[in-house]
Amino acid sequence: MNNDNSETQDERFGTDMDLESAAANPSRASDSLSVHGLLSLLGQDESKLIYERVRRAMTVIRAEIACSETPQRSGVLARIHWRRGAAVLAAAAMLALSLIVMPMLGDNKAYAALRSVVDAQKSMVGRSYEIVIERGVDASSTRSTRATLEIGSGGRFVVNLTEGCMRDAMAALSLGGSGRSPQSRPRLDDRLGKGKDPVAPDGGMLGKRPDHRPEGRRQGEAPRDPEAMARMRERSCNPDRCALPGAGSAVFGCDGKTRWFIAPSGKVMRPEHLGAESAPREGTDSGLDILTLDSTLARLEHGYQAEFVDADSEPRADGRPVVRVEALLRPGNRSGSGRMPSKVELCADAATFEILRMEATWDPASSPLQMRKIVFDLLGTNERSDDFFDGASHESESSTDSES
Amino acid sequence: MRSEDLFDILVRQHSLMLTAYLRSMAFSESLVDDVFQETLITAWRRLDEFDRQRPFGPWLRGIARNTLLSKARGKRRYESHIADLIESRIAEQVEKMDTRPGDTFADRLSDLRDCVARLAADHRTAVDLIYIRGLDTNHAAAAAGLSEETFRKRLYRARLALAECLRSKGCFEETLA
Repeated sequence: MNNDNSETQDERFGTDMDLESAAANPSRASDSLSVHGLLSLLGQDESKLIYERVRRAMTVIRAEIACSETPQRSGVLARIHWRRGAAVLAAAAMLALSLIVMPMLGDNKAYAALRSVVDAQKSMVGRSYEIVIERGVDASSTRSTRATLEIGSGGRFVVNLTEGCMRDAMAALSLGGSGRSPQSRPRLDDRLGKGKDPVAPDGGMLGKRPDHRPEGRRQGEAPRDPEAMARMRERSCNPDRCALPGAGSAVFGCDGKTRWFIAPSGKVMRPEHLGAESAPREGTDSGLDILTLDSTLARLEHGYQAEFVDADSEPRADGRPVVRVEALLRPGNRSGSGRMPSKVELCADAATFEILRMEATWDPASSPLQMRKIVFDLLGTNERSDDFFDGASHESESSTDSES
Repeated sequence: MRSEDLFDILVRQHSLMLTAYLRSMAFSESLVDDVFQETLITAWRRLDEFDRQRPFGPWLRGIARNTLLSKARGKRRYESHIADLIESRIAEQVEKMDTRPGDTFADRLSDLRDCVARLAADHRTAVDLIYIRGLDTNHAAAAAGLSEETFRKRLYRARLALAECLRSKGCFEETLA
């Protein structure tokens, strides 16, 4: 059934006929309206739509439970469970709530909205976003890099760097890491050595591994080519080194199982080139880099003070309401290791919780890698086949030739 | 199992019925969406008040009705003297359908599908264009080669024919005298 909210039932289903007959024959009108309600269940995607409504409602309910100051006891069913709990468990639960849950909540509505956005994001596929990355050049100026993000099902995504500075995009990417256990992933500058450029000569940043190999080389890696080393030195001295080299753009993504990266030279790099670390690990941090939205979202719930901003003040252009959440990095938050943005502003559709815009801002004084801001703007829905998320789909013919 | 998970299961069992009820009562899909959400949240908050000796469906519909009336205050579709009659009648029809044999509400819709299959061809086409294919009346009328007004009348008659068919199968209450 079409779900155009701006349209009335009468316009859509012709139920105004029922209204016209209502005064003369209320019984007939109510019969027709009852049938109308039942017929509306026969639509092709109706079950999916209804279960999505249930899921959203349950998300709010679960968020309320998580937000309540006392252990949840509001229901008959819940009370039965509660009575089984020993006093010791109750005290432990209270302690856990006070230590873990309550400090992170600015207000419950914000948390509920945030939870809904995170849940909705997991099931939302076929979305395109424009990403604008602003990185500081010096104290007073910034430069912008643009990219597009395509999100598919099952953790698939493609980020296409379309304009600007690939190095800045790579710097942003290095801020991401695991949303679940942020501390567990080596920081990029730890891996490369502090102060080193996060981009390797061929743009293969993802291929870097921790500096624990003898002589700074990866296992099985051939000694570095002196010419490549010279190119790297030249590149690091070139004031235009952040320009996208060659005619192509850099693209990276995940096909649902494996991450891949295509350097501007056109060379496709997969885990065998990148090192095992870049391959998604089951149950850990696959696809959670900051440019894929998920890393930031995953951290918002645990390291930020979220506040609900007036939702009705600025509805969407089509009149549908939006929810706005502003999240400030909690002082002393350890989850971001100083790398996460100091402020994140989220704007989402109030009905579907689809992210319309997300703006992450870093404090210039403490910004890692001079990152200033990353903005995601929804471009629209764009269903892609699974093939689109395979690196081979983005490999240019010339690069294929050169590979062979 | 946690209480909210049990509630989730209970609600899913009644979600089709609740949707059909709200679509019969509300004048817009956005209102259906809002009331659906609020009904579930209210039901959860007031679960203490639910008498477990009684069926869950009517209790849920009661909350939905009150929520709808409070949300649509001043926007009722009918004159007040017939509104109560029509609304209570819709509740009766949905209740009757909800108590039909079948494990789920979806199973209970098999009678409706059967009735749709028995409709006259032009009525069946109208139902198909609107409810199955999801066209609006404007486009459906064009597809059927009719004026919109004529198409609406046809659709209305198709619904009345379906109501009679459902009544003959014992799915609907008898016509009021």
